[in-house]
Amino acid sequence: MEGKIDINKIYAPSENVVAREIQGEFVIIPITSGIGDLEDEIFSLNDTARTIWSKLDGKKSLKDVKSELSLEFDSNEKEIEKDLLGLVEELLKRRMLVEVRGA
Amino acid sequence: MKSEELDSNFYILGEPISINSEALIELIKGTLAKKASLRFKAAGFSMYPFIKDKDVLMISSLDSLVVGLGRVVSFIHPQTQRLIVHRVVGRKKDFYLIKGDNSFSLDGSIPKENILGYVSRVERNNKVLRFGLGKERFIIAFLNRYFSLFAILCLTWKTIRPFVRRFS
Repeated sequence: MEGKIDINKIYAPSENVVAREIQGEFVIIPITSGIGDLEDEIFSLNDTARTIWSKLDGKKSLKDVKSELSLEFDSNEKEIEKDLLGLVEELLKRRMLVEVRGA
Repeated sequence: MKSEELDSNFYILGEPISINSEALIELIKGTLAKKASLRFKAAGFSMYPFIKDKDVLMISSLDSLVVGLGRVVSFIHPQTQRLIVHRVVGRKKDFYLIKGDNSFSLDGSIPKENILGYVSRVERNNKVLRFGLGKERFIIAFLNRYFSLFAILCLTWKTIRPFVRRFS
């Protein structure tokens, strides 16, 4: 069970997704009850979300990810943190992301 | 060097995207690698009548399952590199003879490593179809290999149709 998002914690993609670059789009297909369903909801990440997703590698904390994003994007830190946590919350809710425990 | 501003609209949910053969191969491989099955809509008429255009297929991993006679498999054609879903109608050493139920010729000798998985379920109009994947698949494969299966089915239907009408 996921708790509140903590910027000091580390998160990684869930084992129960298939994430691939398909024809120029980055798609994530959730696996539910052992089935990846192309007839159901599939998720496409835009460039920003794709960048964030690539940094959620199970090794860096959200704080580290935020620092990296600050260097790459021309937005203020508060906005970056808000958007980062927003995406992480959404991905956690959909069980596409999991907290790395014991890291 | 800093680039653009952060874009807060992260994702598109549930929008249909059309997937080409190459992409579907990637998705099948990715899903089967996670020990899961992939469910998607079929396109084409080469497996008519057992699989029709827009039927929903489930591709599952072969694991320890034998690629046996009659099994409907998804494979990468060695020449065209396209994804095809057809039926195993024979075997020659380490190669499999595969053919569409509604095709006139074999797809060729397909090496086992080109076979990604097998069709474990077919759905049509939200109903699961049983016929064509069970034990009858051996007879279908035999008829398909040596005859034109579709022609046999048409001829059979033509023969029994008057009797079906009479009794209905």
